[in-house]
Amino acid sequence: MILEAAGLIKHYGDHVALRGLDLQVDAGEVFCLLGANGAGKTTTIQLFLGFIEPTAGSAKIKGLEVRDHGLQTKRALAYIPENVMLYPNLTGLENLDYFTTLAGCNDGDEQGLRAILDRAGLPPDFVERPVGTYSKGMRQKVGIAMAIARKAELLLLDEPTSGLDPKASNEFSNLVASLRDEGVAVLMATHDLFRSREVGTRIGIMKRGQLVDEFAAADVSHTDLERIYLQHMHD
Amino acid sequence: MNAWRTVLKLEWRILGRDRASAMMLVAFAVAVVIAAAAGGRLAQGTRAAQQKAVSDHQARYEATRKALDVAAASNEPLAASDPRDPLWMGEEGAAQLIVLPPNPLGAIAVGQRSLRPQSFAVSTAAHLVSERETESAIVGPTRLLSGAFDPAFVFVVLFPLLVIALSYELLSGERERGTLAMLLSQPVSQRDLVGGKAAARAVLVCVSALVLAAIGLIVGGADLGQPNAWLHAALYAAVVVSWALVWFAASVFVNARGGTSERNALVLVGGWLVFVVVLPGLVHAAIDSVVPPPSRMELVHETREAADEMERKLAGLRGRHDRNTKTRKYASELIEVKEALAKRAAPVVEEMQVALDRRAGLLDNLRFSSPALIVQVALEDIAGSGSTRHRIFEKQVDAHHRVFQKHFFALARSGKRFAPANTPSIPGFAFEDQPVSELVTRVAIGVFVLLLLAGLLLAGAWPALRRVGRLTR
Amino acid sequence: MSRSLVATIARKELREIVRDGRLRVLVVLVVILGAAALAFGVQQTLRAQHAREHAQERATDQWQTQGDKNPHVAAHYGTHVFAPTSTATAIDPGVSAFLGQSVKVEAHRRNLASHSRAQDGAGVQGLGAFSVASVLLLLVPLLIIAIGYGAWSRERERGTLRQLLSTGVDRKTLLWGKGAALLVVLFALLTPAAAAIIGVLWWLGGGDGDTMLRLASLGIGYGVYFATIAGLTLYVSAAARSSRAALVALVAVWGVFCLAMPRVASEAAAVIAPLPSRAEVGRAVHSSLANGLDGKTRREKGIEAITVELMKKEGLSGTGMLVAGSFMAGLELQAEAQWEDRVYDHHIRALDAKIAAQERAVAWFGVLSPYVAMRALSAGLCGTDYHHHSRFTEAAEAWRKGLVGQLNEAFAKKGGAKGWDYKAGPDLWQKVPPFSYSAPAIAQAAATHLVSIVALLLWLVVAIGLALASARRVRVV
Repeated sequence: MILEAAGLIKHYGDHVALRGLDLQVDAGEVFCLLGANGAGKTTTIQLFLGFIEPTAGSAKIKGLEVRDHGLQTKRALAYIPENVMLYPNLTGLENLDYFTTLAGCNDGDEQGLRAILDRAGLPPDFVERPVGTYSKGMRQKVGIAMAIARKAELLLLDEPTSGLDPKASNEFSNLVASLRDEGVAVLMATHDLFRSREVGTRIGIMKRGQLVDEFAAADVSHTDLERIYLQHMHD
Repeated sequence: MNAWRTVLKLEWRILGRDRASAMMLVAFAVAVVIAAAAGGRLAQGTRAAQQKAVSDHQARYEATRKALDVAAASNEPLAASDPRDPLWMGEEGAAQLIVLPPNPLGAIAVGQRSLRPQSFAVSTAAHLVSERETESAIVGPTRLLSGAFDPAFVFVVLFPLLVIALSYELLSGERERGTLAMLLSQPVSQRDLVGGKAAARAVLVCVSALVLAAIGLIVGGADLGQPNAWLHAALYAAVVVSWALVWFAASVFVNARGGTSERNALVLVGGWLVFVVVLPGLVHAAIDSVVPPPSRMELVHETREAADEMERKLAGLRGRHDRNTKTRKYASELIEVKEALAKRAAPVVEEMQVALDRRAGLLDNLRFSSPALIVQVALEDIAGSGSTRHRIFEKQVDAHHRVFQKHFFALARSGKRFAPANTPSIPGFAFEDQPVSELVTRVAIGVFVLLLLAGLLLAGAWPALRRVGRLTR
Repeated sequence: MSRSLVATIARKELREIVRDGRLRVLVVLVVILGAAALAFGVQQTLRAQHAREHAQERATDQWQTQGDKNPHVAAHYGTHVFAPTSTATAIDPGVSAFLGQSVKVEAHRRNLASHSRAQDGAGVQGLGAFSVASVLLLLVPLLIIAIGYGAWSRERERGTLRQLLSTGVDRKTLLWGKGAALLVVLFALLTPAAAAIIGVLWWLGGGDGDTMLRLASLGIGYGVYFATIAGLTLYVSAAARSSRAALVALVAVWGVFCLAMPRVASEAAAVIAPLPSRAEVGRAVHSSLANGLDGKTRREKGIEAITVELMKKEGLSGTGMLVAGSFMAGLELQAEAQWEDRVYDHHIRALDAKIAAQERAVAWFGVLSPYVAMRALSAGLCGTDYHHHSRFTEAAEAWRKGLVGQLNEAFAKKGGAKGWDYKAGPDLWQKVPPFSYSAPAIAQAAATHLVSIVALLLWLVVAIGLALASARRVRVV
């Protein structure tokens, strides 16, 4: 079990963002977290990133409590936010170099980094261009390259396909699938029902800070998924 | 430790690509160059004028001595401007020109040089409160009002804006750009991240400060051959760097509050406005209001009244054009009047000096009310154009004046003619400059206070910087 | 462009401004500082006025109780005259603190004014005087910038600009609306301030027509100045890439106009129109006194020539006539005085002209900075510029000539056979008319600062032009 949430509760003053979340993701699994805005998806991810602390309950990565082992848990994960923001005046390669050096997994092998950028699907002529010229999809690819370079065991994705055109979205799916096949655990918060069914192993529906439904992706069809989702949203 | 260095190195690379920062630094360097040129021109001008005046004066004195040698042989009665007449010698012939030598780094701050005389003509004239002749160009009133465009102005007033511009979006910029979340999701401790970024900018700020200070020195023209010149330069560098650190610490403090870059800029510029632009003027106004300066105008009248009898006698002596001014009787009468004048006026002058000293002391202490004042005064002290040094000089000249007067009055009263043998005994003046240790102490106190302030700001920022949540939202 | 539309826009802008908590703080701060500055200015002016009255009383007293003595000896004893402090000094002390307040009046010398208030002060004054004028010139523009820097940029960033323009409202109308709001805020702030200032000055004794006219002109001048700043603020707000960039740019512009430019102007003026040193002037005077203005006439010869002329005027000629001792002595004194007056007038008027030229050179930089222009104009209107001072010194000199002439004449006419032993008494001392000086009228003051007035108006035109042009081309997204 790479990622585990047990009875995770988060209060922001009077507002209850999470009320007892139980979640498990194993290696080689893609868990898609569906839900409306404000359901608590981003809060969950931020808790696992250590950006905020839970009010109660536990959030563990590889058996280590995130709040107690911040650095170690971060070493095992890679985070790709909705909008991957990089340093606009540096090139894609330089950004990758910087972040991997920070993460302590850069051995100075520039060729290796280029290969990773290639695998992530970044067009070769953009590798040496400043990130300010990249599209959203290209920036995301750099983000994925970072995850690959760091050999992360856990990938945290927040709305990764929002704002991507169908081609980019498809490329992204394929990449996540290949990482999944390599044994990476993935937690993906998303609105994208189609992609969840495509790439997910299990799907969870969040509503008002709790998981109200959880099932295997293979058990439902695309239309079923939509029906179930809308049903939950109506309750 | 490694992460620190990585962040630092890469922060440098990012800063290196930032065109806006580069442009600001260049604009600043230009301002420093112009200011140093202006300050240097003034310092050079003063020095040149002083040198010329001194050498002209020497030449005249030599001519007088030669004339004395020639005239001493003859026994003719005393003529109008006769070197054998001790009274004339005291008033004109042997009159001395005393100049305040400029400090090696004089170009960095014009300071009080425009308001206080840089040279005095010492003679037996009863110069109590009259205008003293100076050899440097008259400074126009608007120029006195505006103040000089010297390196001190650029560093005290404008430099903080540069430091603010380079560091106001230390964290808020990353947050707004979105890269902060990316950074914090890496297995790097927050301390390393913030520390590395802050260190990179601190280094940039300090290096800029030193480079700009050096430019100021080179363009302004520092007389590095003089003794202690390098010590002065080191003090100057210390002051500028600690001033830069104060503003850098302020930026870190404001960034730790977690606001937007715009708000940070507003708060920091507001702070600059209060402490650099408004407070010094307010402090002076407060002092002028509560402890008004003694009026020299009043002094004139009081001394006149105190010595009225003598003033009338003096007017009587000078006013009657029918008197022979070359007789011994005239000489002794004149001296008697002048001595009595000086004696009567002395207590009044003394009182004024005491009041002035008290006020100067008060202002000196009040410089701690604003860090800008600390820096201004420190730079003036280093440049040798501060009020402390001028006061020391004026006091020494006054004392010498009295000695000079006494000497020549005694000679005149004796009735004997002035002879070449008398020239070596004319009292000479040697300026005892402010001791280096005193200067170092004064400046060191200022630097210490500045660094303390910076430290307090950083310490105040520390607790807020430890919480990630604030930084990412 | 509909006027009611402008009013609607202005009203909404005003509401936003008023509701902004930060701005309220700023406004309160500026008001407090302004009030403190006014109080301080009034205190200083009152002190200066009292000091002057006291000094004048003392001087007159000393003069009149000097006992019996020869009139020419009395001329050597001399007296002092003092520069008046206009009530408007409470608002803008200008350069008056740096100019001498008293002139020693005596025979054989024209003294320069001495004892400036700045000399008495012991400290660091370069960082700025604190007065109502400095609050108006320095701080109110910052207030305008703080209120207006986001006028266009924030609308754009919030997305409301898109929506506004899609309703079909004209950009020029928007501009006038925003500008009007800015100016209304200022007006609301400054009208009570102006009322307070006028009231205070009235109480101080400056209720006469000329002072009121000067104050009115001052108000108009500052109005133009603020309108210029408002225009420039709106221009930068529209042209900048973001609110942040607008703020930074405006503060930089303010720094250049108000902090750097005045000093640069002074330094440049010192190079363009340099002044001699006091010692140089002294030496020139000394040499001219000895050898005449042309450098070729010895003093004795020159005075002799003048004496002969004077004698001719009195109907005497040749040396054969027997003339009373003191009459001759008086005539010689007059000749001496004439010789000296010619020299002093020449050199000191030349110095004065040079100083005035340097001041004018500074004023030319008003073309590069509205602050420099307004500062000069403000001092001129408040009677605290160099021009007013030199009018005073000229008046003092005229009075001195009159005094010395009167005393010498009394000696010549009444001395008779006693010659130098003749003594006059209090009735002669009291016959001397008191020194009276009235400041020049506003028209003259304005004429001296024509360059600044024109520069200010040019800036207004430029600011409005830029604001309009930028409004037409403001980016919507």
